[in-house]
Amino acid sequence: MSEELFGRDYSDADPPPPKEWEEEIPPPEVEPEGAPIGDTGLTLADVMEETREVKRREAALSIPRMIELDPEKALRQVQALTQILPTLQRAAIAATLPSDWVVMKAKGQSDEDATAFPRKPACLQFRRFFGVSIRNPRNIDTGKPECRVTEYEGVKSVWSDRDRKKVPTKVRARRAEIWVDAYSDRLADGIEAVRGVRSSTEEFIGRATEPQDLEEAARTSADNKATRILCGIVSKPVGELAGIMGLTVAQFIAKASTGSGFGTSEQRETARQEQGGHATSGPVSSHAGEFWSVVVEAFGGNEQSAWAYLAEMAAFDGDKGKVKPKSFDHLAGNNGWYRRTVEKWNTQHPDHAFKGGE
Amino acid sequence: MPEPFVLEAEQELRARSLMDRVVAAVVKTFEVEATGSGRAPATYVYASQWRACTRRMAIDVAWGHEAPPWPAEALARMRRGKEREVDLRVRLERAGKLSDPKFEVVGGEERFELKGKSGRVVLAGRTDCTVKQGEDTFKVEIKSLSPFVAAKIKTPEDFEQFWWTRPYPYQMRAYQLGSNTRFGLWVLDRGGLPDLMLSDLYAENNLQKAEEFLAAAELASETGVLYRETGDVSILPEFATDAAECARCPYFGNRCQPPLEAQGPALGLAEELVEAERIYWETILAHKQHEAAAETLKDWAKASGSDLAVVGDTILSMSRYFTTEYPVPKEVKQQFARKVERCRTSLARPGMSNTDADAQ
Repeated sequence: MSEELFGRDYSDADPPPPKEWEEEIPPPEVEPEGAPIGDTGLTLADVMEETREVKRREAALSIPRMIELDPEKALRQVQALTQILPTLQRAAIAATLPSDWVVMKAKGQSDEDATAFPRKPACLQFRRFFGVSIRNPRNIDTGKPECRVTEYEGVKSVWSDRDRKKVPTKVRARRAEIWVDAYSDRLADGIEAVRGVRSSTEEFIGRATEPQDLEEAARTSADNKATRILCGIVSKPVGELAGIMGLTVAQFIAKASTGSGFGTSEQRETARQEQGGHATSGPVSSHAGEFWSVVVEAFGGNEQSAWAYLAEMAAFDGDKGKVKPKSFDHLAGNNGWYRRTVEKWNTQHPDHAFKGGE
Repeated sequence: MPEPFVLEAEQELRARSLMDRVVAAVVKTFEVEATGSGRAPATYVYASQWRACTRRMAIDVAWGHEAPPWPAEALARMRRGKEREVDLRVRLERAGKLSDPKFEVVGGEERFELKGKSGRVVLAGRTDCTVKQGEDTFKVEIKSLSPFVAAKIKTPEDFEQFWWTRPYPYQMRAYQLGSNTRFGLWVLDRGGLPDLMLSDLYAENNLQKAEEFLAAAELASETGVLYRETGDVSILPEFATDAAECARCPYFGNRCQPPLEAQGPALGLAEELVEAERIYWETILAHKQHEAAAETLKDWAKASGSDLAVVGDTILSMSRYFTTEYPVPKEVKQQFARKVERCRTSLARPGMSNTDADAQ
């Protein structure tokens, strides 16, 4: 009988120390725990908790208990599972697209060391391959299939005209919570009362103020969280994902949704729209000022007309409508955007072409 | 005097800006017409709102009036459909006068109501018009469809192909049941000449389906009204069992929290299957080499023109034979065309080589 299951030695009758796995988790180095990761609805704290839960479940697949009941059957099941599990994981990941993942990295880390987190479409694929059923969605208080919606005094980052930036402001907020059970018929394993929660203080894409959207987001969060834990895919190294999908790391990241470590959110947004990839977080072109002088000169020194024209030229159609630079600094602050605008200017107006930076 | 460059640039800027304003204004002309779903809280199910999920119909009754406003794109499409409906009704009237024997189009939109066992109205709708010829009466429903969709609709059963056209036969059955007429007529606006299609309430199991719709509408309207008043979700009808219905339901995750059942892939754990899988990948390269070699040898033998050929230890013999061909014209062939379900199986190893020498 094999004594090594899931890479652990079970020859020793004593179960592994319960806190062993906690030491294996690296400390957070990406961003503060409260900040959401892309649009996954996850915070770093969630990821830590889910990772712990996965490891806790791996350790507690009750091997000693199964062996006590029927050693041979336990062995067969575990061997089969050990063999099938990586295949299922690979197949589920292969069925996803790079855009179904959010890639993040810490400051100073290379792209190869980045980590990817699954978004909703990826979780849907995991559910398909692992046969994950979501059952008994409920309000934990009433047991009825509905969200628990509560109002509370929250803090939201709101744009301040006076400070010219977003500042934390107290707001009357709404929180939607729902609990679900999940069961994987392929793993013959389940998880109970996974909580999904979303608050109106979070940044939402679309109609953020509708209570229905909040409830829907909470349900999605619960479904995805349960799926990730059951399938054991909370996050993956980018290199591994790229390998499964037959891509290079650079190709994967260019198509993936980028999060922390890949420029500011504004840069990422514009870069995604403009380039179909992520922005480089390098220094802004030192020649931007010279370019601006060329444009203003073409307009006979009229800065107002020059900016109106340039802003229109730099604008592009984004998901949420037309994206226009707010100022020249805004435009020049994004290398990709700035570079393309210069190219456009030079193509359309060769007589006033900007030769700087060559 | 400004430079020519400045003039050109300003002209371009003005033109672009004007275009943006025109587009925004056109969108606004539709948006000003949007006021949510534009309905008062309902107490019954609309004939056009049959859904495979009775729970969804109930929530529609309860909260359909609070649906967010339609986007301008949808409003524009609906407006176009409405205008085409008027055009086609006028066209039908003119056709009736030219027809032999003549028929007439009576009435415009006509409301009908169906009551449930409780005596309350549970299902209501509005027929587009009625065609009358002698004693025969047809309830008419005009539908605007994309030409690509319309090309695939030849019989009422074909509406089953698309989830958004699935409610159409139920709507027609409700009209027929509500007006106590056996026949209905679909006028399908498809860009060119409209397609006409008959609906017979007595055909197939149409009557049974109409009654099922009525029963579902009764349940949905009763529970829907109660749900709106009490907010108690436990009184709503059962959840749909088809996850695809939930996937496209606007209430999923907010007003409705259904369980989602999923069945994972079949797992082949039997020894012979595992062995077959091993052999498959171990021999894949040899298989490809074998096929390529056979093709090379046979091609050369055929090209040699001889009936007998020798390569190394192998003798290649060619025998000529005749087969019977049936050069049937395409249009005749098409008469016998039928869809037959087939299954294609492909094998792949995600993240591993599937074709080349690495498979070894």
